[in-house]
Amino acid sequence: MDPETISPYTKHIRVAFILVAFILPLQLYMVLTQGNVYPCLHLPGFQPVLDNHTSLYYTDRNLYAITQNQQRIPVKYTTLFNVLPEYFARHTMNHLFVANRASHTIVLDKSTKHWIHERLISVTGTKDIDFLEVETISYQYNKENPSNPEVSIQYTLILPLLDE
Amino acid sequence: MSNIQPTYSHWLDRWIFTSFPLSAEALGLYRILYASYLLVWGIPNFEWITNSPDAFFNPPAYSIAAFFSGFPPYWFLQGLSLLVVVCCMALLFGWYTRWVSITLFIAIVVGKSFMFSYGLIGQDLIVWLVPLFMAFGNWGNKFSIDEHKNNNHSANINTWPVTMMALLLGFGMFSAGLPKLLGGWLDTSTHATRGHFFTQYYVIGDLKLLSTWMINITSPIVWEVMDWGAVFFELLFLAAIVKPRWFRLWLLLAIGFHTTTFLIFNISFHFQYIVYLLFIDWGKINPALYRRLEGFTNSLFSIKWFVLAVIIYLPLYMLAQQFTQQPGTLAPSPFIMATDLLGLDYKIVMGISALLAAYVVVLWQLTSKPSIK
Repeated sequence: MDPETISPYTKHIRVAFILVAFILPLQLYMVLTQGNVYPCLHLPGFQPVLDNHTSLYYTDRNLYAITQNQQRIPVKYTTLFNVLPEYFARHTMNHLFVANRASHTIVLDKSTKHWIHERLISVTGTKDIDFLEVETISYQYNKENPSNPEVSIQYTLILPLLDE
Repeated sequence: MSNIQPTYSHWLDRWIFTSFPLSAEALGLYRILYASYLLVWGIPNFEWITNSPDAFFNPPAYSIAAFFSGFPPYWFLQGLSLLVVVCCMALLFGWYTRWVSITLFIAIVVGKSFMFSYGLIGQDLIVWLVPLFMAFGNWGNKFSIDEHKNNNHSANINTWPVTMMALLLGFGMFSAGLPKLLGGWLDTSTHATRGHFFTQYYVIGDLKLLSTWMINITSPIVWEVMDWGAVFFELLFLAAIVKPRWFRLWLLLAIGFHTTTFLIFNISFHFQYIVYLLFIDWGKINPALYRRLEGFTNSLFSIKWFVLAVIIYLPLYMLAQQFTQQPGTLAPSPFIMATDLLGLDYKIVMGISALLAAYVVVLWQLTSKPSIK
């Protein structure tokens, strides 16, 4: 039986398959070259970024609320950003608190600083918070004791939260 | 149920139209399973997005969200979330199935475009491509309101969407393997899997299941086998789509692959299993089951019961939202609420139960008689 006699759309379906077969490699090219892809086309298992696969150093951030009398209160990023689901909180923290390499500062607009200030007051229960300290640390693989990595501070930035 | 199989002269047509033969009953049953999975395990929710300042807004370059300068207002996100719930329920009852399936896909893509504007991109699109393509497979022709109300204009079912899903799944896996290959995963002097494991262990702090045991595995052979295994498994997924038997074998390997990922990395790809279920040999289902299902759906799948279900489910859904402490990407489903009440980690329970269900299906497929092809 000829396909065309089965369904009037057979030709269209065949074309759709061929189109998809061309679009998918194009999307893969975009992923490989830009590391950023439209979520609509984001298929399972994509790993756009594969850096540091040979490195045994891993960076992380510690956050502290600094009070007027220099008290340093540790704040978990999941607590600060608990308006977001857990995995989103880490990405948002890394996006917000990435330091400008030239000036070693974190640039945030007034309303975001205000939002962070309010959140810190709420989660610490302390009203006189003036600064947020962002400490970037690294874990170094410990060959002798893999479950106990060596931790070192890479750099620390103090972010004023009140209006100048 | 028609057993007439047309013969196609061209290999491409044979592959597209006859790779995964399905009956209207099998498609109807799959639709019910798919909608039930969403309603019981968790429907995507977008309402939490509204609590973020616009400084968090960081959409990818190719995204619907990239056309906006910030997050949408609450009424929009709530409306979108409720639309998804109603679509899932309509899908279960099979009410205007084709249009509901397409609407569900569009609503999810719009919502997820904003959800993935925080720098994180999820990997569950394949789950949402199912309703988009199965809409054209006419999966609402049986065990549905449409069956009796004649809401579907096309009476025939199409199985080419299943082949399309195989192509997309195969390519998705291939595109996960290719960057690994190019990124040096086959280099025996480095262990890429171990590198990812360390990040998961130290930075993310996932210390459940086998991770605390795996941290002390220092054998280079073990880690290198994982590197090579992952690359070849993912790359060859695309080749496996050529023959349904190969593809099913690769799905079996995929379940083993996900089990390893779950136990070692604490990453559960439980949402993939509902997609894999589409490709099983549906001919092995006992016809008696269909007869029972028909009796059940004939009495229950009516507009009256659908409206009643929406009237009961929607307020409960909205009420559960009010009591949620930590927002999640999924709405508080009956499953999530039950695990919360028992003080269990729902992600771990979800992962384990999905794995067990997958293995039960595999066991049934392997031990039952093959269907006539």
